Amino acid sequence: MTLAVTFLEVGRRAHGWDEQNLQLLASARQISDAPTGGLTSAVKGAADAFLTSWHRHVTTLAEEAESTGDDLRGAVEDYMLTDDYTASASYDLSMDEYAEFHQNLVDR
Amino acid sequence: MSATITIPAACRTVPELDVDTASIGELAQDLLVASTQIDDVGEVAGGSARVPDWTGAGSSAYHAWLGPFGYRADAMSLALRRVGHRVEDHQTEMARLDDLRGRLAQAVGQQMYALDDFERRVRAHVNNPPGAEEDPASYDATTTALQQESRTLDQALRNLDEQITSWETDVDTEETAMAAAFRQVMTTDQVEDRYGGVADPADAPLSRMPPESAGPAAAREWWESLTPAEREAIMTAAPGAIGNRDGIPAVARDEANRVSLDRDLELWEGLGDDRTPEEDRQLENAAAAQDALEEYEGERDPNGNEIPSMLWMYDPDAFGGDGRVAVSIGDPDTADNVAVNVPGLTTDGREIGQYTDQAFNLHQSATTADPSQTYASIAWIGYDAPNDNPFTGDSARVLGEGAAEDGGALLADSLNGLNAARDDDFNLVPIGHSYGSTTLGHALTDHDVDVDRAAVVGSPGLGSGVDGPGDLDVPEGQFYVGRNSDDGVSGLAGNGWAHLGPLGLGYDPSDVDFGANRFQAEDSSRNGTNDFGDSHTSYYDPNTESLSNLGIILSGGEPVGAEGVHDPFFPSWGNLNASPEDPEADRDVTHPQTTP
Repeated sequence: MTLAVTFLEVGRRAHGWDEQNLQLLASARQISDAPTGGLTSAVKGAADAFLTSWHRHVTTLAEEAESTGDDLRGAVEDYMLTDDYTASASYDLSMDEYAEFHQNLVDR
Repeated sequence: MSATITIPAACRTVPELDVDTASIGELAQDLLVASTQIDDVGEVAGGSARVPDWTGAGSSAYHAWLGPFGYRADAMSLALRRVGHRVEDHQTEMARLDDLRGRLAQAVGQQMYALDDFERRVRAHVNNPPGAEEDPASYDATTTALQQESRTLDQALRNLDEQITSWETDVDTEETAMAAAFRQVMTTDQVEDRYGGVADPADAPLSRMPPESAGPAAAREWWESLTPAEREAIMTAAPGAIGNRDGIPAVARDEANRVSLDRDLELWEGLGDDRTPEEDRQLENAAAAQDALEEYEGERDPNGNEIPSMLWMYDPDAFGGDGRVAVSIGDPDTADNVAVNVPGLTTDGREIGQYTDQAFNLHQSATTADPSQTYASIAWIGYDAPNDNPFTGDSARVLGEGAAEDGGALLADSLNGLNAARDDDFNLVPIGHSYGSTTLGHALTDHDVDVDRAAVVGSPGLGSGVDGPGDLDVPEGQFYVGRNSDDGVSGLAGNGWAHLGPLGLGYDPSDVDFGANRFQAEDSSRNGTNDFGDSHTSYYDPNTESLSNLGIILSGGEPVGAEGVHDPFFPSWGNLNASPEDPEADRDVTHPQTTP
């Protein structure tokens, strides 16, 4: 696999981690919004503390996913700034892949 | 003689139990749905996120991060799933204790009434000793009887006290255990200590899951080989693997699909204005499915029995965003009679609500026709139906059989899946409306299916080459056709009023020469002209001839018959009022009851 194609894959993973970030944030929200009003008072306190902690845990996971996506995008951008990027990209990528590669970066 | 009659001490009252078990169920579901997403991220980190050919410092750092991240996500997923299932158990136990509390409170009320009555009778007895002329022996006998009654009543009251104490202990034990389950995995260290590196109980059974090509019977056999714990794990870890899998029991499909639905709604609703147009569309499909389920939650049939509503199929992204979804009114794995209602053009996932309404109407109608049987009626948007106006946009697809051919294969899979999911004898009755009848025609001709009866309404034909019921894989005499005399779509068959010939969708099944059992399906809105509106879309309306007869067909009875149409021999191009000779057109329309 050529370097340009490899970085196309890296760009795709960056996009994948962006999606994981969104989905994990949705999960964190779902946890914090989960109802505890139906529990008896003897259980509700523990449940509320649990939900608060887990909202934080899952949000942390989401932030790590987002940060990883940013790092991967940074690696791709570094690669694009190298002198041989344009030449190798035009040789190694089909037009469709090239367009997708660029679009991924622009979208971010 | 002096004797003592003891008035027993009252028993305790039962303490209040302030609990809402339905809300506890929602809490459990939210935790399980969230764990599904965390499981997904762990799976991605452990596999598809890797870039094997990438080298250098960036790659090293990235891949070094993946392992611990995935490890933590997997542990968190298992921990959250375990807590979610523990909350489900808590819901069950608290429901039992709440029910028991109600019965204890009732028993206390009865015993306290008995105690009051006893005390009143004792006081009356003591305050009225025998006079000089009365028999003291009789008085003493009553005293002895009251003493015995006192002991019996006291024993009953003490027993109740013990039961209340035992109930309190059970409540306390359950509350303590539930609170401990929350506290045991409060921190990430606790989570990793308990669940780090623990194999997901869903992984092993999923690795044994037969491929789609093995068919629904193999899927059922696999499912039945699993332990309850394995099934529970799969339901949360990989709901998409079983939610739409033919051969898996409807109850399990429904549970898995609801997990997927909840997760999707949480994600897409949470994105707000950041949603893409595709996500907007998926959200519409998901929200429509949710609304349809909520609409019939807790619904009861005319006999007063609760009808389960089930999300039998759910894929909001299928068919380029049109969505694939099916809602069953009634349990198709236990009902005596199961209808699969196949819609026609202009159908996509956003419209599951109106088709679920129709499925419910049919359920009511069948139950009205024969209340001694049970029914399931499925609103099946399971194929890529043409979803535009027939004369614009997708019209080319409507007028061709391509979508019906593809849809017929998917419908046949669903019909075979319903059969494979059960061993007992039941009646499977697919019903096609409009272009859905063409789709049904393909399922019944291109594929090997086992149905007991079949019916079509407003049909433009069952596909080229289908010239009579004998061409269909339906038992002899069990194919039924309903057609409103004004229904313009029914004339789009090759020999209909439009006389489309080979451009049509096959032979008009309501034509007398087709040889189907035509049933009465006139609508009161008819006015003697070909109509593509109400006359074509009212077949499932309550208190219509059509819905009544469809209910009778589903129940196994014989519908009210009608003479077939005599389609025109010559084309009627340009004349929308040119109608076939339809003996039904002049008959008075009736309004049979389809609901109690």
